[in-house]
Amino acid sequence: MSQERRDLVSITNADRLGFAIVAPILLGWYAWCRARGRIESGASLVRSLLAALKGPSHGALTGIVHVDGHCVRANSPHFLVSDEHATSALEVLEDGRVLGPAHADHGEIASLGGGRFSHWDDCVWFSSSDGSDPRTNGRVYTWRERW
Amino acid sequence: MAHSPSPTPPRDAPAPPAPAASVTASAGAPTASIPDRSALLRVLRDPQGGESLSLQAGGLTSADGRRHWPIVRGIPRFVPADDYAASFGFEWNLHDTTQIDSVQSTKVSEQVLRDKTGLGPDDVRGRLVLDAGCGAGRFAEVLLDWGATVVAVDLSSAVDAAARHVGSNPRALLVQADIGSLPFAPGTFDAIVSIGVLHHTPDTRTHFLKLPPLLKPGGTIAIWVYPDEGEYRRRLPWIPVTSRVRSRWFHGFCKVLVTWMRRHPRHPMSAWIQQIFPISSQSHGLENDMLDTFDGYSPRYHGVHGAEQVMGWFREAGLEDVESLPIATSVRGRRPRS
Repeated sequence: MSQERRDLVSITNADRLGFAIVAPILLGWYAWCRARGRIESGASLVRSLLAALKGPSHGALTGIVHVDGHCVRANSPHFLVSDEHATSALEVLEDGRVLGPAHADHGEIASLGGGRFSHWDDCVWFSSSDGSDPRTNGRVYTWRERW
Repeated sequence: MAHSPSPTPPRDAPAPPAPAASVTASAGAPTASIPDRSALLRVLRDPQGGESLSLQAGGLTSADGRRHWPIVRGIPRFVPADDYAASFGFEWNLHDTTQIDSVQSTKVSEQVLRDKTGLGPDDVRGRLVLDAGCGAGRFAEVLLDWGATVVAVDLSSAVDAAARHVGSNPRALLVQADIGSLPFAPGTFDAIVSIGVLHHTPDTRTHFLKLPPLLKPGGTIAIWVYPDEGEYRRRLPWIPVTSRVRSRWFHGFCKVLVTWMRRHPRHPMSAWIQQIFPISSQSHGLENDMLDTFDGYSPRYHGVHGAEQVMGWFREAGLEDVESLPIATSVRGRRPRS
């Protein structure tokens, strides 16, 4: 990569100045547009900011109930950013192993299982890796945010 | 958005691309008669009256001698300045090689051209092609590689960036002009391509309708405009502000933002920003995403359109064999032979 090419992607003080000038302008414009309904978004700025300030967290999946087919549902803390608010950074672990794919369709979680999961509406909708019932298979299910 | 012809003298040392004494030519001249740049200059006409032009005093002069357009750094300039396309002049002269296949050693631009026009080398080899809105010349370069003779037009000073890549090719003619007032006679081109350009004019439909008459009978036109969906639609509320911010500042903002979001794609703020202020993520590298994000927000005009709407314009222009290509709002049509 030539010096000229590097300069195009490296951040200079002039770029930082540009960001410092433009970012407040756009935030102000965003607030104005939101107040007038010109920008509609399911993304929650407050929740995203709080999550960012809190930092990545983790915990156990509790209150697991059966939903349909392979799909079970557990509660997740209300301060997490789910796919309902923006894009969830949640990982679901089964005995410490990461399940997936994430952001799965709830119908596919029920019909296909295989570790698919979704983070939506302060709940985690998930399935075990082998089709067994997470409530009775004796494994430990946890979650963590991965940024 | 017709521009008045520039009465100003050349802005720089004139360097006509060819020493032709006159650029008079008949409309629809066969491509075989355009062996080099001097002959290629003959396609240029008075944007107002359509009459042929003559080379005088380092520029082009109308038949009645009242209007004069300078040739600066080898490029005829039919507009006095960048006008509403100033941000393009900024971005393409800064990112002049970011999307140029020969520099990046990729085939990205070639693939984009194929996907968005349905054209390939066999369709343009030996033909006279208009690249309407050439930017830094990414598609003009591909068309030249495919064997076409290319007239590449841009409203902005991006033509200077394009000249660095294709200006030395004798089959290329670069022109700074307005698509709304192009300096060509009807029936000049075998093919016209305009990818990602017309939605940045004040009225996409009106400017599109200026192009089909420039085709020869049987000639093909293919365009791609922003579809009315996804991130193209989500950008709309921002344009009144982002298009007014000084280009240098906004480019710096895009660099910092895109770099941070690429480093932290799963951060809660990245997810939030991507939903309300989508940044480009084309898998062609950080530099390309910076450029494309700047490109998506900085132009003054940002039209979004549906495929059916675009096909309607093609039919309105009397084109036939109108087809919508697999990429949304990529539409191609042909001028009837008779």
